[in-house]
Amino acid sequence: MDFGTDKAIYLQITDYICEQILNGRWKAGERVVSVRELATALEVNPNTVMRSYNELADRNIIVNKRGIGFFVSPDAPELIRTEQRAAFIHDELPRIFKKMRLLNISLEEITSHYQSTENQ
Amino acid sequence: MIQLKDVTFGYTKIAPVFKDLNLELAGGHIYGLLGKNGVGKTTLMKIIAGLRFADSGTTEVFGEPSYKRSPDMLQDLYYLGEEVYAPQLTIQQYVDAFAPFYPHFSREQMDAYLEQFELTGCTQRISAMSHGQKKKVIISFALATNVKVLLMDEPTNGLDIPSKSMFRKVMAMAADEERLFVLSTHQVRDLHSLIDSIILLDGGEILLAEPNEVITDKLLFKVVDSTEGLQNLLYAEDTLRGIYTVSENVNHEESKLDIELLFNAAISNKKKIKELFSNY
Amino acid sequence: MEKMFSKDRMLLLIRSIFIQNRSKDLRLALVVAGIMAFFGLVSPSHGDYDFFGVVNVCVLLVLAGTTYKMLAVPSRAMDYLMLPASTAEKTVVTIAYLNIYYVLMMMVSSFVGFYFGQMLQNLIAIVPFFRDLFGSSGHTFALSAVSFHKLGSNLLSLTCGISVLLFGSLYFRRHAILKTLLVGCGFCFALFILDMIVISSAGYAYGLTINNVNLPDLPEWAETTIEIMVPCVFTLFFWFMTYLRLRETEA
Repeated sequence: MDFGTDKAIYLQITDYICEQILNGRWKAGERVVSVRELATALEVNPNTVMRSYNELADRNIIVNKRGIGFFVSPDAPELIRTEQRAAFIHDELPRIFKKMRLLNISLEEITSHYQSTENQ
Repeated sequence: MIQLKDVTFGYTKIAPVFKDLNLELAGGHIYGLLGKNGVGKTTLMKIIAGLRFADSGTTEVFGEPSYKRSPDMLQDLYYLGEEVYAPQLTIQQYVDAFAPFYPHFSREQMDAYLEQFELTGCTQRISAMSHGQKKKVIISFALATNVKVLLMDEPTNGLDIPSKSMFRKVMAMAADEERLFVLSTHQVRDLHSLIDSIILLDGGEILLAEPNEVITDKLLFKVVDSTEGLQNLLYAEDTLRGIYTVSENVNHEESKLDIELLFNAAISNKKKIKELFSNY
Repeated sequence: MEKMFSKDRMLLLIRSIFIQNRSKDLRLALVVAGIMAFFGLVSPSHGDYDFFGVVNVCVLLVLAGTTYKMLAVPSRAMDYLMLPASTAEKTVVTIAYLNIYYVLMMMVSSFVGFYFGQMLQNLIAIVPFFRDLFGSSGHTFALSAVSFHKLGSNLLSLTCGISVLLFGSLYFRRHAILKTLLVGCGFCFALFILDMIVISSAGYAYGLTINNVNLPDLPEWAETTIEIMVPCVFTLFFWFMTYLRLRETEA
């Protein structure tokens, strides 16, 4: 994984984990890979992975079962989708709208483009 | 775990390498030791290890002066220099002869690291291996000793690109909440994902020695189009991607630590950096 | 004291030195045995065996003088200093290794080699031409010919010599043997000059002149004591100096 972008590494890792949960690679209710294993695979300081896990635990996406390990919450996929929907509406949409207004693209144009791609 | 107080050291009386240097390092961290060429990174690590003796001041490891080189300290400290000594022994013989000196040595870990480095089943003499392979063997050994303090001088120097990746993996396997690693390096990009704390050495003194979170708490790293409106700007670098800036983090915003940028900012703003991070 | 000396650690040190030097030592033993075999082959059975001592002593002194040569290489020096054992342990093991292991190794390979050479001689001496050449009487070197008292005092001197060269090896590191011998000669020469000065200035009162340096004989017990004490003191002194110097060694 290339950690070159401006986002903190531990956040990039949480994004990566969320992605894995959404695409079903990390299944709901299943045990999550150990901190050390993930750190080794990603070649990062285990502390950083720990930080990511704690962050996700705070968001209830994963659960820390003392003595056993971290598990993916049963409703993690839903939670993540909710989070990402909120992020899309609050962060990405305003950016898109700003561009639309700048380039004079109307909502109708967007709708028709959307419908044509839906058929593909 | 490691404490240096008012350490002064010089090869000649006229130009000391360190003057009244203070440094405190705690376990559970992988410190990146940064500084310009010739500033004394290697010398600092050697003083910590007890390989060189400071002219004045105290250097303590585990509460004991390191110059004494007591067996108790040596059993829990490993110094990996830039040039490694490659004995005329096979890996097996080497482990056989020297592992017993380290009470916490783990054979399984040694095998695991060798496997990661693709050296399993190698029966060559270490002295006959390529430079990179020699380093990999000694790195594996050093990590398998499970010493509490590991000082590594330019560990990725001489390793090819796949080996650097293997090194990162092996370090991730070895790090834990008690161990203290100090990696001195020029190749920050090789190690920036492993380093969780920074030690900046310049002009014979420590500018800062803090975990990344503390640094990003006090400093803000931002890429901007113009420096207008930036509060307490410390340093700015004009690049094709934009203007890379470092400023005082007055609003406690979150940002990602850019080690190279931090280094440049600190070198050009020594006074301010020392002020911000002064603990002593 | 337990922190300074641990029996297990010293055994580990001995073991590690043995493993590291195994092939070098074997080659050395074979070379010495070979040289002695040659001597055994060509020397008459009733001859003087002084060369025995000469070869052995030379080899042992050279071994002592090159002990710390490796400290001249920074990576090796760091490796050695960082090995988890106290300086005292390292010094004691090094001294014991030289004085016990290497001395025994030399003696064994010398005897074995020489004996082998003598056997070979006896074999060849069956041919009359060679018998005349060697002047062999058909006898073989016997262990009983060795004077153990002489061996004892020789061993003491040897230990003393080893301790001096060992310290020299640590102090000088490069070309240590040469430098140590030069310093040694210089020291002896200085002592000589001092003697001359003392004799010529104060000796007259005691009936001594530069041409007549006959000191009265001391009682035998005193002479023997001095013969034993002086090398002992020197040896202990240099052993201790080696320890101190190693403690101060930086890499």
